[in-house]
Amino acid sequence: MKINSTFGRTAAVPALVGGLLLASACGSSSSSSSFSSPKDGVSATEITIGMSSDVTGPAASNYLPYTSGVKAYFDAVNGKGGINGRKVNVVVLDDQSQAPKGVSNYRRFVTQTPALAFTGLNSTQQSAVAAQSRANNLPFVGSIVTGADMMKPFNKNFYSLACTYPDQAEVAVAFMVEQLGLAAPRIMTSQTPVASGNEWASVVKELVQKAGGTLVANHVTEYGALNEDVFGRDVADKKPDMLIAHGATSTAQVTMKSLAKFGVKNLPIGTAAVLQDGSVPATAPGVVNSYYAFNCYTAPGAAGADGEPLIAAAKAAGLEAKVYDRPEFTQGYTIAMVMAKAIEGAGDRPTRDAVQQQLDKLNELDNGALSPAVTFSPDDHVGIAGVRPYKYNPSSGAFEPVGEFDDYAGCLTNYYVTRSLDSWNKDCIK
Amino acid sequence: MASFIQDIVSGIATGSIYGLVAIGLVLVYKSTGVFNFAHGEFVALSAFLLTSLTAALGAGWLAIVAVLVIVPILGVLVHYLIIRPMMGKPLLATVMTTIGLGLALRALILILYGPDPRQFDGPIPSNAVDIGSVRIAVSDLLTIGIAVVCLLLFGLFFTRSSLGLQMRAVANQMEASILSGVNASRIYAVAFGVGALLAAVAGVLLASTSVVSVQLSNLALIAFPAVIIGGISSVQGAIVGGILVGVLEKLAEAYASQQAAIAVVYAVLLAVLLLRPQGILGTREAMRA
Repeated sequence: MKINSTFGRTAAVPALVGGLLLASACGSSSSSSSFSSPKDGVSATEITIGMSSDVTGPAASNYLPYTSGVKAYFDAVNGKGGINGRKVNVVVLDDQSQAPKGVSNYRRFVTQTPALAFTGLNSTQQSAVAAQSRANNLPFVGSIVTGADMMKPFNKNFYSLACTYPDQAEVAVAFMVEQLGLAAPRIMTSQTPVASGNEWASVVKELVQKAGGTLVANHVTEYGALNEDVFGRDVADKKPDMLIAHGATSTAQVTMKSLAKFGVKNLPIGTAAVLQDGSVPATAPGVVNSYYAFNCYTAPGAAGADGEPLIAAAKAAGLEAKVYDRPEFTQGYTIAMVMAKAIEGAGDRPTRDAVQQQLDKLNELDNGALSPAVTFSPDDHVGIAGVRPYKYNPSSGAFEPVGEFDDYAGCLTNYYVTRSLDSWNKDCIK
Repeated sequence: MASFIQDIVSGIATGSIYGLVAIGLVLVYKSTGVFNFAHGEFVALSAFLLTSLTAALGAGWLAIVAVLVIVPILGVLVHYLIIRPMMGKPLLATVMTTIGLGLALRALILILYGPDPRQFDGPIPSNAVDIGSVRIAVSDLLTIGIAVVCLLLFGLFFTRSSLGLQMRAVANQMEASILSGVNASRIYAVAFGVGALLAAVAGVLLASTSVVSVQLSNLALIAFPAVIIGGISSVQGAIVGGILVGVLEKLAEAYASQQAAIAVVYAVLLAVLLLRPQGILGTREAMRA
């Protein structure tokens, strides 16, 4: 009895301490303020999101709306108290579309200034970090573009939130060929010297041949070139039925000037998503007969779009319409929305692994039908499946969606999963 | 054959712009011994200023005249506020100052105008004329004409005018020139002002023929090979080097690839440095043992 009593008193102390520790631990799990994981970019009060974007380089006009979309969404989240009590700090580093800077920025967010999740980089920069991104656990949640090297072979850490270039090309070629009604169209392509440009040119070439047409020539347009006179002369000489273009706003504007110089008129142009910018056809109005961009995102202010929440967030962030009324803004906003959803789902103890688990089960996330809903699974990280044409209206200067995403679903081969264009045919539009 | 001639003509037009930028670099170097690495930013700043002034004044010609007045004044101010205090300091420090100035100007442009490229719908006609089988834009003809006029004017300036001779004297023997009564600081200011004027001319022409973006700053990087190929001390060489670079670029682009153009230009640069280090029209400096 005495022993028992002694035992009882002796045991009471660790029991009490254990109880207090348990209570403390329970307390910590219900309050975000006591959990931190610096190696994951999470402190007691703040979450770091890493972003590498072209802020001052040749593609800045395309990347600025995307960067603004990410920041505007998280500004709105922070205004409502953050995610599970933590503020979100978006750290943006300028990469000027240069591969070494992009790689350096990405590495910094992996270890030096750890981030819970990352977004950004162009396709060439993505190619440069593809191996590294497979070797660490930093969730890489999309960018304005998706490079093939990030997706092939499957990368468990990369989540694509751009319509892939094969997707864009598959709809672009089918639509443009249908519009012109030509049995054997003669097509020219243009691209900037980046990984996605090479992919664009090669996929379009294969599709044009499958459509019974000919790729007359592909021209590489350089960032910062003063003119594209050789290209302009070539188009004037070869007289293609249409141009299927890839590039950035600045390179496309220079190209339009050179096309005008060489008297090119009424050329139908279909472009990749990043050239959905009215300033391109407006550069040389007589050159363009019809101008279509192939995209999976709709600008918040487009006709029929339900973009009010985005416009409100943009205005609250002090942004001008020329920045927020662009599809890239919707894309940035959607990427932030996806990140926030995954971080929130990870609960009070967000880590990179926990965020990835949440991303892998993200299902039908809707941004107000401004794009197809976002869905990931553990073995399919193509989050956006769907592309449609957007027609430039010269009188309003705006792009108007042509049909619904579903109308073009039959054109998509899901190339990054199937690795084949065999199932594509030109009569795929509903 | 028609395409070949067309590409040569396009190369001459593009090269004339390089040449104008190169003259600005040579002029400042010839007079002050300083390679102005902020020269490209003056080109970009001029083009952006032109878009602002056109919007404010509503008249393209008036805006062009305003830019051609304002930018040289900025050049003189840069000399007095930034370069002059560096006189007597190691050359490397002065060169670094011009690099810093270039970065600051580039940042200022981005802050003031943002990253979006702009258009200038000025009074310079955008149409083209056909001469035989060759099509050439009126703006390109104007560019070539201005380059030729600049070549002649600066040739006369450096050989016939008192100010031009003083500039050459200061560049060759600064101490002796000062002892002879030449106001070196004034000469430097004029050099920076005239250099900025040439940058403004290039900026106006580029705004009319290309798009206005901060990437125009990079033009100086293309003008550097033109300066070396033509001869770093020769105004005529700057134009010849510029046109050579422009033609090589266009031919390489047409018959190889865009990327090959850069390789070809630098291969020629290397060849010139190996075979004629003073450049095509440069003069070899005599060194006393």
